[in-house]
Amino acid sequence: MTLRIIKANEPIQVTRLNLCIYAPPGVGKTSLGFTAEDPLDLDFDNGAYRACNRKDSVACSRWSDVSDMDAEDLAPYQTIIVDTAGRALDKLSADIIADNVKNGKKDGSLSLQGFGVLKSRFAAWLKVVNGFGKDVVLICHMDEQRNGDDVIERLDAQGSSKNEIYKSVDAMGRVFVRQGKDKKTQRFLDFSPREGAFGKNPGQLEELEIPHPDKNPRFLAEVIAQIKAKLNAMSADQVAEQSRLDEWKTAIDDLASLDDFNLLIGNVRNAPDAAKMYFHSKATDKGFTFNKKAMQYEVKPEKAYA
Amino acid sequence: MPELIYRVSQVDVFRSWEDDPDADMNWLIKELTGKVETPDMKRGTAFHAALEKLGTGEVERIDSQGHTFIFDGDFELPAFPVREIRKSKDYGGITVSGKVDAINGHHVLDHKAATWFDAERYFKKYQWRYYLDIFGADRFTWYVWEMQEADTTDDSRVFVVRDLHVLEQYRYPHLERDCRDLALRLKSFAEQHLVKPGPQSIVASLEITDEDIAS
Repeated sequence: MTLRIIKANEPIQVTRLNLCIYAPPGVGKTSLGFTAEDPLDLDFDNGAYRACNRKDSVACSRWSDVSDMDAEDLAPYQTIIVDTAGRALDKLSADIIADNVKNGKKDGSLSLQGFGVLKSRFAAWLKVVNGFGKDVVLICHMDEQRNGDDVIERLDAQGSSKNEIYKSVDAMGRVFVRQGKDKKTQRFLDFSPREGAFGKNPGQLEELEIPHPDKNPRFLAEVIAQIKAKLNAMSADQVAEQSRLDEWKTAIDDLASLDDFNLLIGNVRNAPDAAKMYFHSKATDKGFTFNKKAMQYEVKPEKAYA
Repeated sequence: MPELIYRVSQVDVFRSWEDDPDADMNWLIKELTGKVETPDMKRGTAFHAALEKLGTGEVERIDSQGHTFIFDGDFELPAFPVREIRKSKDYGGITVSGKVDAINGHHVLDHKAATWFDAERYFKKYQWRYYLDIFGADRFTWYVWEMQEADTTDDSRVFVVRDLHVLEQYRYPHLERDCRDLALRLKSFAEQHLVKPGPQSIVASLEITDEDIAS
């Protein structure tokens, strides 16, 4: 039982994505899912038949219907749609309680121990599917939480299992209906967090108007590609920034005297912000204080520098 | 007019007051001007202080500021190169100051000591938004350490760390606007309810101790 501190190592290439889409009933979540790249719909809600652009789907009545799937079963598909994630987690909960009654409570919900099992089994399943190189889209119903006059739109999933969805997804978007530019009712997908709605927007996408699947049958595939591209650009930028910061940190760690710090001030001005802040904190640790008028460090009068 | 400087945590207190239709204004004023440290805050401060000092390697328990934390599970934590750094940003007559637990390039890491994990609670807060904006970062990761206090026979406080939840958020379009809007609403509130007339007015008890060469 230990805490292991490891060297920070940022991901370089994002090849697969876990995405959550949530919306109220009847706005076309499943149809949207079918516009992903080579989708397979894991139909836990028995609603795939309603999609106007229906593609391959599997009716799932038990968690084992999906946990038994292997790489060969999923080979023809690029995107695995869990429809809906809340219902899938209900099935997983039932499976966990069936395995061990201590995982459940008398009312049929998961015990604390059961939630621990749910957390690890759900994460493990996602990891396996991602390991097959698949993107996963978790479709969720939307729940409205009232707070006075305000409404908070959030995922509709049982208890703490909701947390597992929030943790596991790289991006999370909300589908809503509003009047579009042509004055007709239009569906939108918004990844940004808003007052009263949750979101994760690593692609830094503006609100997207969702076209009818006949007009763009690859809409979600394109959205996922954009998010991956942005994440990869961020990763490349991050690796470069991390490398610059490491170089600066090494140089700053070598500074010992007041003169050392003052000589480096001019160069530090061109350093990344984190390096500037590290430089200043190290100077402060040494007992130096920055004189803004002289633009130099000085020894703090009350703290002699050894 | 005195300079308005608030910590990110104080801005979040103001936001939670705005969100709660039953919240009392006196409570808010006390929160914005006082320095009361609850036992939970002391626990968090002790845990942060201990994590800040850790180098690479393994530990089974850490002791800090009269608190002991025992790890009941195997956990991994990336060692970010720069830790406990403060920076501030002016949002138009109000300065918001934040201190990140750790930063690596454009990635900010924040530790939370909690008795339970509720992702929505963290998403709702503005802390992550301000940290991304103030530090010019793109990605924010919470390390939420779920812990329970153990019974002890003396005054010592011992916590068993049972779980670790890693939760992420990202920069989004209009993030800066959201931060600015909230800061300006707080500015308005402060000017109406907290600023006393005269040159010696004190708006909040915050003292910025780290002069920031970067600003």
